[in-house]
Amino acid sequence: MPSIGRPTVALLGQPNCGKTTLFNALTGFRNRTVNYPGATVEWAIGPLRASLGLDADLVDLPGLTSLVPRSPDEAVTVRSLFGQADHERPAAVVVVVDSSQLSRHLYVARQALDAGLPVVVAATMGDLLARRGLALSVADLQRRLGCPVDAIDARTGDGIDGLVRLIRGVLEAPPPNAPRPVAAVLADGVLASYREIESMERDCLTPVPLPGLHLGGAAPDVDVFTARIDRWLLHPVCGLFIFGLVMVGLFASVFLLARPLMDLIDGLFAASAAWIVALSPDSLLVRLLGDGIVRGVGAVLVFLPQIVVLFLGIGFLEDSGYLARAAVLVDRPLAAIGLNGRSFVPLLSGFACAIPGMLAARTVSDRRERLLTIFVMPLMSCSARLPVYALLLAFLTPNDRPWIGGLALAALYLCSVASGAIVAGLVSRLLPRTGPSRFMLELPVYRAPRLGSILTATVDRSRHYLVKAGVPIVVISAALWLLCNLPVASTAGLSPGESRARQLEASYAGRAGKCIEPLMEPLGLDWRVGGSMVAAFAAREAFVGALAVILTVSSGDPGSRESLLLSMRAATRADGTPLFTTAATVGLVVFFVFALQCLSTLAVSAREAGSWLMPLVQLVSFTGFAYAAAFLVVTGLRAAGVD
Amino acid sequence: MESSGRPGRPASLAEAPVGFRGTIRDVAGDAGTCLALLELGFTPGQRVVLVAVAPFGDPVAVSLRGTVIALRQGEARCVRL
Repeated sequence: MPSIGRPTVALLGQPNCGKTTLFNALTGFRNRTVNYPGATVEWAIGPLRASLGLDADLVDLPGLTSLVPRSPDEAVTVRSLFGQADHERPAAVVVVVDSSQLSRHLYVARQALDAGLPVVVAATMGDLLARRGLALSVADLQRRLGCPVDAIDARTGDGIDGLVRLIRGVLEAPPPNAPRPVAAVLADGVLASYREIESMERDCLTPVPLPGLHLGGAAPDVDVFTARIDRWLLHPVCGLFIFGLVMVGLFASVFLLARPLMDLIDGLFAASAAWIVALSPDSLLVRLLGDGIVRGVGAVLVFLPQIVVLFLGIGFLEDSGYLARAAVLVDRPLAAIGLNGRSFVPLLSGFACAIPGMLAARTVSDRRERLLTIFVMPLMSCSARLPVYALLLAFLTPNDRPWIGGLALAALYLCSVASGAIVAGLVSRLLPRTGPSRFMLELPVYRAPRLGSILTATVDRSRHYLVKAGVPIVVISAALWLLCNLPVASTAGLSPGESRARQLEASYAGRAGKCIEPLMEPLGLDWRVGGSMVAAFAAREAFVGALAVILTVSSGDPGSRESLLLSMRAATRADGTPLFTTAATVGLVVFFVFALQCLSTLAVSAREAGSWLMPLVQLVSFTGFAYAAAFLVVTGLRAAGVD
Repeated sequence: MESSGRPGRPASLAEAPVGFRGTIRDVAGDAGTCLALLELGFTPGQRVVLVAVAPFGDPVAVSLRGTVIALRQGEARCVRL
């Protein structure tokens, strides 16, 4: 929240008006996101750059097409402008208008002026206007609107100093009367407003003869370049084909680019954990630090490369303007299962981590569709499932046919998408819709993506993973380590490997694993896998580490997957038959595809939905279904003679 | 591209073929949807171009007031030409 005594300046405007670019130019990327108390509205706030010479906090409000709110989240944003709901009223409101579509954007500016807000208008996208052979007269717009106006280009910094001077003028002027929120609008009011704005537009836009550009004739009302690209990208056949290519490319780059970095982080943390433990191998505290905490941090950070690469890709597609087209392409199929084209980007983020995905679902304006998007999010195959898949598929794949593993992984991703679609369709049929579903999405002009804004968005989204998922994972893995090592068992006279196994069997975690053994039996598994699955509820990837500890491979080389595979093959049940049969391992994979095993996801789901009902239903139905599906697969495979 | 079978002009944006250029006559239908369309700038007298139709015929992309806005069929049906 803004500090006392320092004025707050709010940025207001339609979606895609260039608000965030201006925000970054004014704050120099120094900002943090704040959550509006009690609501799922989040905005960025930061102090103006010191070199601009104005001491004020700038708030980047979510884009609005009207000051008459249409959703609870929009209502929160609008209320904040008028100083209601115990939030300080902004001392100045900068309305950002895209001058290449002046009339639509002046609509919000007019509403803000009519409401009596202290407005400064910042006109952006002058370059797009010039491409159509038009120029904006700032003096005329200022005269017609009756408020200060500046033309800016936040990409180059042109006009920023002038804008800051105008903001200072508003801040230093005697405070105006308290603004009045806009009452409900009627169709006649909208029409009258647009008539007036159109006459302003005629006054303020003048043709500029540009050499070599369509001399004479009416200015085109569409960006010609964008229309030409859209003819292909929205084409019923080519459009879908390109969409498929883009998605395959996105996921392929996640796997190919992130792999070396992940190996590096993995090795680094395994080595430092081993180094710490070697300092004093007998001290419980040192082992907690090394094996519990350092390894726990490593388990979180190892996914960061994948998450960052996926979000970089999403940011690139978003900033270029393609994601809006992708939302259009998939709106019809998503609408059929009760979702919305706007659910697409959140669900795509869910393939990195469900938590940033659920937070991104705030852009789905319809509450029912937003809750449904959050509901199916845990079914999207998040990156924490990958190490489990990697281990189990490596176990199942014959050495001479490595392509089977790749094919199986692709099938698991398809399975994740299909199960999400089926669940969304079922739930939306069970819960009847109350209001009409709307789409109405602006398709912004294609532009070269800007590195700065892609990086800020990526850092922001990845931070959600690190903070909201990471902290609990570290805490839980430390707690889990304690549960695996307390109470201390007597291991005198045993080899290191045997003593670790004995310790684990006697520990609280081992006892818990034995408690759920009756549940594991139908899946063809025993308490050792059960204990690892208990660990996986802290974080899915913890399964691999826990299994390694339980199967006592950690004595020699804790990081190596080969040694874990060998001990998986060697592990036997009490009667001497192999523990990891093909049927049981396939069943385990199936369980991980559907089960909701992430406490952080449940917590975020509860917060976003506003109650614990949703996460409880998610936990019980997804995990219950996962168990039933795994049981059916194991029984079916055994009946078919595969064991 | 020619309008499918229908002689004369399409009645609403939902029936307009790709490349269609025309003028909005009025906006009629569900009150909330109409108001949202008006506030987005779909006002009577405004010139529109149907830029593209997504796979499965829905949504449609319409150019007006210097930008392109995608509407679902149900919303496009409210914009009468």
